[in-house]
Amino acid sequence: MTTTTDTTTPAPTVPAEFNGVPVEKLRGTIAKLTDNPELAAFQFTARNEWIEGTGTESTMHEWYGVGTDHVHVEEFTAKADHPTLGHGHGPTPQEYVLHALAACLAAGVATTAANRGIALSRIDTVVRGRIDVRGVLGIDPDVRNGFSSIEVEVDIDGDAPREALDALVTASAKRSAVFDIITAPTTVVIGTTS
Amino acid sequence: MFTTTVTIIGAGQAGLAMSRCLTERSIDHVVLERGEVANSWRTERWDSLRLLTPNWMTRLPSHRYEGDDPDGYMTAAEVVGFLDGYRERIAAPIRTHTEVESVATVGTGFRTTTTTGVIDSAAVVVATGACSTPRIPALSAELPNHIHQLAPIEYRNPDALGEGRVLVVGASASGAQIADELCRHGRDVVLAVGDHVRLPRTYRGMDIHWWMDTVGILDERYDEMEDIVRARRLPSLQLIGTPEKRTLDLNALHSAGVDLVGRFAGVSGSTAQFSGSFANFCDAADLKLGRLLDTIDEYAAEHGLDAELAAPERPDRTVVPVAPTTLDLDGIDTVIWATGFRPDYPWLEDDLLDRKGQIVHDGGVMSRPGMYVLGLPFARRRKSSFLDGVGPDARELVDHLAEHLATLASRAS
Repeated sequence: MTTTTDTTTPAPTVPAEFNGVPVEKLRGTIAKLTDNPELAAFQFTARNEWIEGTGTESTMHEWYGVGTDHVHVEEFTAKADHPTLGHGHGPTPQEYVLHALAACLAAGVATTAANRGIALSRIDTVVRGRIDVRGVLGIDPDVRNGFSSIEVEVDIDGDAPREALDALVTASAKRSAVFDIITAPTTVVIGTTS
Repeated sequence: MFTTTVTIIGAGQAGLAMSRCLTERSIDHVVLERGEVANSWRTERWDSLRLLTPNWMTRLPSHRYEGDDPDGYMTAAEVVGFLDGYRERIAAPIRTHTEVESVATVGTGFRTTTTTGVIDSAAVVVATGACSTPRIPALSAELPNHIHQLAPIEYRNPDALGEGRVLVVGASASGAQIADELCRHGRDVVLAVGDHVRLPRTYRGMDIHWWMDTVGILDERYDEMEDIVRARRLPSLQLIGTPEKRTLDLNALHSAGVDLVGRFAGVSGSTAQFSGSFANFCDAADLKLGRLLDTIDEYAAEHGLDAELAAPERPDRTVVPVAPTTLDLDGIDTVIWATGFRPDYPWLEDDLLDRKGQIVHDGGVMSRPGMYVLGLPFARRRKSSFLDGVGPDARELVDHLAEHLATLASRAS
C-alpha cells in the first residue's frame, strides 16, 4: 500500500458572522441562558440631563446582564427636543420610540435571516406614528397621550423568495422587545430622589 | 396490598390502549381511574362538543370506529360510548373511583398509594392526559368580583352563563368553538386572540386531517424536530367538527359577529388591556397556513393526486377591523379562560419533573427506569395527544417496557 502526502483541504469553517450576526455565539448564549436562567436577568439604563426648555440629552453607558455589570464600547448619547416649542436640540421623544421599533425589528430580521441562512443586502424600515396632540396638550381628556396607531413598512432585499423575506418581519416582531413594550402594558414607576 | 407487573394511571384512551398492548403481551397490569372510564369525556366536556378529527381517525389497538359516518365527527357522548365499548372488548382490568395519592420508588419497583389501597408494581404508566388542570393566568385575580370566571372544562352550554357580554380568552380550538357557539346563540362575544394555528376544515375536497395523516405530518417524530419544545407548546388547531364541515377561523368568527381583540395583556382598574400585536399574530398564522398548504400541494403533485383533486387555492388573508386595545370590564359578565392547561402531578416524586412541573421524558420514557408517560402533546409523534396517536405510542412504549422487565428478571436470576 502506498501512502500519498495529500494536501487535505481543511473542513470549510462556519463563518463567524452571517449578515454580520455571530450565529454560533448567539446559539451559545441561548444554550447558556437556558441552563442558567438567572443569568438572563438584564437591566438597561438611560441617564437624562436637561439642557433648556424642552431640550434634554441622555447618556447610555452602563448595563447589567449575564450576572455582572458592563459598559458599552463608548458613552452613547441622544438628544431630544420639541420641534416648534424647543431650540432644535434633537427630534421628539416619540420619534425615538419609532426609531427604537425600527431598530429592534431590523435587528430581529437580520438575526432571524442569519439563523435561517438567508443572506440579506438591505433592510429599510419606515415607521410612522399618528398622534392627536390634544391629548398631551390637555385639551381633550378622551384623547390618549400616545400614538393612536403605528405603521411599519419594511423593505428587504436578500437571497430568498419574496415570501421568505416577508416572513422574516413577522418572525422578528414576534420576538421583538420594543414591539412588546409598545403593544403590551408595561409597569412604569416614577419616583423622585430628593 | 396488591402486586402486579404494571400500574396504569388513567382509564381514558391512553390507559385503555396501553392496557390492550400489555394484554397482547400477557403482561399483568391494573388500570386506576379516579372516576369512571373515559372520565374526562363524561364530566369535562361541553354539551355540543364534537371531536375535531373525523371518525375514521378514531383508531385504537384492536378497535376502531365502525359506524356509518366515517367522515363525520363524534360527540363527546359518542366518544364515551366508544371507549366504554373498548373497555369491555379488551376486558381491561380497571379500578374505578380510585384516586392516586402518591407513586413512590421502592427499590427497582414502585408503590402506588390510592384511595382504595396500595399497589406494588415493577412499572408505572402515567396516562392521565394533558387536559386535566386548566392554566389560568395571574390576571384572573385582578378581574372585578362581579365577573363569573370559568375554564372550558366547566363550560356546558350558553344557557348556563349569565346574560351579558362574554369575553373568551384564547383563540385555539376550545376558545374559538365556544366563542362561535355563544355567538350563534345570540350572545355578545369578545374573543381575545394571541398565538393561534389557522387551518381550513377541508382542502381541495379532502378533510385537513386526512391531508395531515396522509402527508405524514401527524407521524412526525419528536426526535426529528428542530425545536421540540416549541412544537409541544403549539396552540391547538382552530378547527371544529360539524356536519357542514365548515371552517372556523378568525374571518369566519368575525363574519358571525364575534368581536376580536388582541392577547389579553393586563387589567388597570376596571379596564381590560389587550395587546396591539393582534395583526402580527394573524400574519404569522396565515404564513404558517400557507406553508402547510404548500407542503400538501407538493405532496399531491409528487404522488400524482392532482387529477383527482380540486385545484390548489389559498384562503383569504385574515382581515379583521383594527381591534380596540381596551375594554370596560364593567360591561363584561363572564370570562372564559381558554388558555390551555398546566401540568399537575402532586403525586409524582419531584425529581421526575422539570422546573416547570412537567414530566421529564424521552419520547414517553420517563427518567426513572420502569416509568412511562402516554398522551402528552408531541410526546413521541405529533399526534401523541390525539385519539389516533395513543395506539402507536403505546405499542412502542410496551416494547421498551418489556425489555425493561426482561432486564430486571435477568438481574434477579
